[in-house]
Amino acid sequence: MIRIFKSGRHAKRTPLSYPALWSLFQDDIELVDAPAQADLYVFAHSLDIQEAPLELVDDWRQRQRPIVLLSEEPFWDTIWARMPFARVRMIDTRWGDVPVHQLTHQTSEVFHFERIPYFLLTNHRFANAYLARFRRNAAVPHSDWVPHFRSAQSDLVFMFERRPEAYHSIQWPEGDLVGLCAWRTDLAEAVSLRRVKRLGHSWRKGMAFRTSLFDWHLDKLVSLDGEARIMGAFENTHQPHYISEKIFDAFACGAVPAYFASPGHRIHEFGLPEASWINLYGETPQSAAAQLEQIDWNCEDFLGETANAFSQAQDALLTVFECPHSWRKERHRLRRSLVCEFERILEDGRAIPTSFVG
Amino acid sequence: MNLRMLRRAAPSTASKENSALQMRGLAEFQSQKTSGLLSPGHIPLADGIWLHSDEELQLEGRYSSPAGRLLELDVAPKGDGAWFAMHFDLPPLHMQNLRYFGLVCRSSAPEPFIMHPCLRSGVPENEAGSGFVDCFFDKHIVPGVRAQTHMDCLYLDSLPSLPFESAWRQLVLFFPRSAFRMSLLHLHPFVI
Repeated sequence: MIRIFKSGRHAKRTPLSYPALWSLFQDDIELVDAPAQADLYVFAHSLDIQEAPLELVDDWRQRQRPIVLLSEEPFWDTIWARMPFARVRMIDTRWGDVPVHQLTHQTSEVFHFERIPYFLLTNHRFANAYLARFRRNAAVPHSDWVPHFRSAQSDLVFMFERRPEAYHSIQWPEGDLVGLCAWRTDLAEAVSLRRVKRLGHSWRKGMAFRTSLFDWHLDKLVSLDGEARIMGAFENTHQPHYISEKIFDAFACGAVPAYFASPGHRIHEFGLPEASWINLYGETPQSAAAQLEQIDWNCEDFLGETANAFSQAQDALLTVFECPHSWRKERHRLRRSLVCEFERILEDGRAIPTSFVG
Repeated sequence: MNLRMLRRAAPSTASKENSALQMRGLAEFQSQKTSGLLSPGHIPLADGIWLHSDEELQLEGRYSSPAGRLLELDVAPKGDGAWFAMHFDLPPLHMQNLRYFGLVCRSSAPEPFIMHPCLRSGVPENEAGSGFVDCFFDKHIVPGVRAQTHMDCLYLDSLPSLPFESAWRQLVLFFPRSAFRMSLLHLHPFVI
C-alpha cells in the first residue's frame, strides 16, 4: 500500500481526488493525514509546492520522501511550472528548494488515454450525458441536420474564460505545446458576425461562475442544446494528448465545433470526418475569425456536405462512448499507469544527503 | 527592555549597520589559494574560518580554495557522527540597531544535498547546556549542478531564543554527514 499525503489549494484536482476515480486506487493507495505518515507527498499544482507548509518541508528534510507534482492541466504546467518536459526539477518553497517528480501530460503516460480522454473519467456525468445525447443525435437522419443548422438561434457561441493577456501565448514546439487562452480570446473578440454569443462571467458581468453551479456541465448542455451552428471548443492549451469535454459538448449540442488541432493531435483518432468540424490550426485569430465569418450557411452544397459529415461524426462518437467496456478499460489503464509511476518513483528515489539529525 | 524599544532609543546609529559584514579572514581566504586534507575535529582554514566535525564522523577527504572560489569540498566520512559544519566568526553585532541578519551565497554540487545555515550565539554554559544557541534560517540550501544563488534573512524580532547580548557569534553552515562534493563560490552575511 502506498501512503500518500496530498496538500495544497488545488488538491481536489488529481486522479486521486475525484469520487468517480478514487475506488480504482483504494487497494493500492492510502491517503494519510500527516506528512510524517507518507511514502509520497503529492501536489496538483506547482504553486501548491511553493506554498508547502513547514511541517511538510521539515518532514522532507528528515525523511526525504519523494515529492510528486501530479498535474492534470497542461495549462498549469506551461504558465506556472514552466518546465513542462522535466521529469525531475527543483521548485523553490518558502523553506528552500525541493526536488520534484513531475507527472504531467508531457512527462508521463498517465494521461495518455487509450480510447477515452482522461478528463471525461473524472465524473460519471460525462458518460451519462454523452450516451444520451449521442444516441439521440445518431438517430437523427443526416438530412435532418440541414434544417437544424438553418434554424439555429446563433451563428457562433463561445464559452470560455476571457484571458487576453499575452503571457498566455506560450509555445514549446518540441512538445507541440501551444497556449490558446489569448488566441481564442482574440478570436472571440475579432468575430463580427451578427449572431455571436460570448458566454461566461468574464464576458458578462453579473453571470454566475459556471463552476459554482451544482452541475455546470448539465447546465451547459441544456442551455446550448440546438442553440448554435458553430461552437468554439478550443482548449486552453494545445497538447497532443489533452482533450477536454469541449469538442464533445459541441457535437452533443448539435453544433459544429471550431477547434485547434495540429496534425499530431489525438482528436484525429476519433474518426471525425473533416467536414464535421472546423480546424483552425495555424490560423491567426484574425484569419480564423475571417474563416468563420465567410461560412455561407445558405449554400446548399455546403449545408449538405456538413450535415452528412456531422451525422457520421455522431455515429463515430456514439461508438466511442456507448461501450461500457471502453470506459472500464480506460479506468483500469489509468489505475495501472498511475500506480506504476508511483512505484517507479519510490524505487528510483534516492535520499539526498542532509545535515538534519533524524 | 526588548529589541524594539532599544531600536527606538538609538535610531541614528541604525544606518551604519546596514551593510555586508566585514568579517576577518573572509576576504583573505577568498583571494588565497590553499588546499589540504580533511580530518576529524577542528580544521582551521583562515583567521576566523574553520571546519569542525564530530570525531565520530571520522571525516576524510580534501578541501581547496582555488582562485575565485571560497571553498571546494570532497567529503568522505567513514563513521557515523552528529555534525559537520563550516564556521565563520562574526564581528560584534549591535542587536538594538538591527532588524535582519541575512546571508547570500552561491554554490554548486554535482549531486544535490541539503545545507542549513544558522546564526550561533554564545551563552553562559548553564543556560543552554551547550554554551550556545542556534537560530536556523528558514530556508535550507540545495546546491545543483548549475551554480545557484541563495538568499535568506532572519527577522531578528521573531527569534525569542536569540540572545540579545552575546560574547561571540558565528555563522554556521551545516553540511551533510555523508559523502558529498560541492563548490561554495562565495558567501556574504549582511545585516539591515
